[in-house]
Amino acid sequence: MTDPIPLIGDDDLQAWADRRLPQDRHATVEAYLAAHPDVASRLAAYVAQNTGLSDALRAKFEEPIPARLRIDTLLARRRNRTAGHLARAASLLLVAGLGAAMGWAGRGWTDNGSQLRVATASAVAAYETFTVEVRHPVEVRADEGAHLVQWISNRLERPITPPDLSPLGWRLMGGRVLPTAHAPAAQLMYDDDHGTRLTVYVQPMGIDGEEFRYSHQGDIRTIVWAERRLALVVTGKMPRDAIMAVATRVRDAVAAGAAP
Amino acid sequence: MSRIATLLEPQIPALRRYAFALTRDHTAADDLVQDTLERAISRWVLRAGDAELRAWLFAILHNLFIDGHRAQRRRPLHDTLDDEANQAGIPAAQESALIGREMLEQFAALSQEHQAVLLLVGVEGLPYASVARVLGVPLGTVMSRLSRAREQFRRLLDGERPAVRPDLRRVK
Repeated sequence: MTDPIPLIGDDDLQAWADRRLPQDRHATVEAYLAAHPDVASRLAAYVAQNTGLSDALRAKFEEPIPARLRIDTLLARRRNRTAGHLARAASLLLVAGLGAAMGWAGRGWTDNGSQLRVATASAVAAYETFTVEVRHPVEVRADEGAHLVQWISNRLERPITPPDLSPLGWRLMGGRVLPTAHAPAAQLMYDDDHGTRLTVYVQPMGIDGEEFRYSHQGDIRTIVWAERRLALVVTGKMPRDAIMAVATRVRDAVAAGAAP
Repeated sequence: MSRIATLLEPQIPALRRYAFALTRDHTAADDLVQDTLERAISRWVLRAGDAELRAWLFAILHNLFIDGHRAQRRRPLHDTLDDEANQAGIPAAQESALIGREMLEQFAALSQEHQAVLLLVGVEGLPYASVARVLGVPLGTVMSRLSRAREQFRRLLDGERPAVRPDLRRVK
């Protein structure tokens, strides 16, 4: 009589390859493998898979953790987002109230992209209306500097200082206050020695942190962005590089605290 | 450092490794890990307990990965490998880098289910029972899937074509 053949399960073999076999199964499995070299070599290949994969991924494992994945970063982002949600919920209430009051639905006003598009459309309309004016391109002229700043700041309910674009060859002509569906906006107009005019349109909005978006309608080019809860639109008939230079300078001025 | 950070941060290297092995895209992998961590933070009070933290995190990541796949098909493998080769910031090549790279390429040819089980068991060293929880399948399924995945991978590494398209043999 031979000994009864010990039962070996496939899960024993897998566990053996993973070095997880319970101690009391070791002898049985080892004996089986000794008698079945084909199975033994298969298992050896499995062990090599584990080590090979681990080695291939070791560099990834050992990389320092990127800043954006640090837990403190994520916790801070989460706090900001919660605050942002509250602010957006509040502005949605405002829009909904406005929509109800005016008899239209506040559809499409909820995301930053559509808000920026609305601001751009308003800026272009104002540009087309007022830059062609010969006698009254602006409501308050730049030589009434203090009055211009105070008037616009009062109507927009925040300090607004026209950015100095003279290093780029643009002189401030003046500005005006414009109506929008939300709150007053301002248009600042500049010209150069050739009589070309550009406008910087400023509209208070509940959005922030939106990068430059470039668009054009015919030969009118615009760059819109948002920061410090202002949508800003630079509009002009000029090459893309030139309008980019203006927008960059305005943005820097706003960032430096001259808002804008 | 907060308690939540003390518990979560030690898990991040392994989560990144698993995410990278699944996506083979450094940025997509970190996006996945970030989503995982954000979800973990938002559900922190719901976790089973600190002992199960690892499996819980891997389960979140795995589910996000699967959901992402349903929504959007992965880019073809060869594209991602090319991108990866051109991408700056890859850890310095090691002696075994070429072998490792070839291994990962073969690995990528396995079905997603097979990849997941091989990684969770063989690389992450999760107990079989935890792998079952991560994948949401019974323990027996983990073991049979592991067995088939290893055999499939062995054949690929030996230069054989898989006998059966792994996607077509899905046994729960």
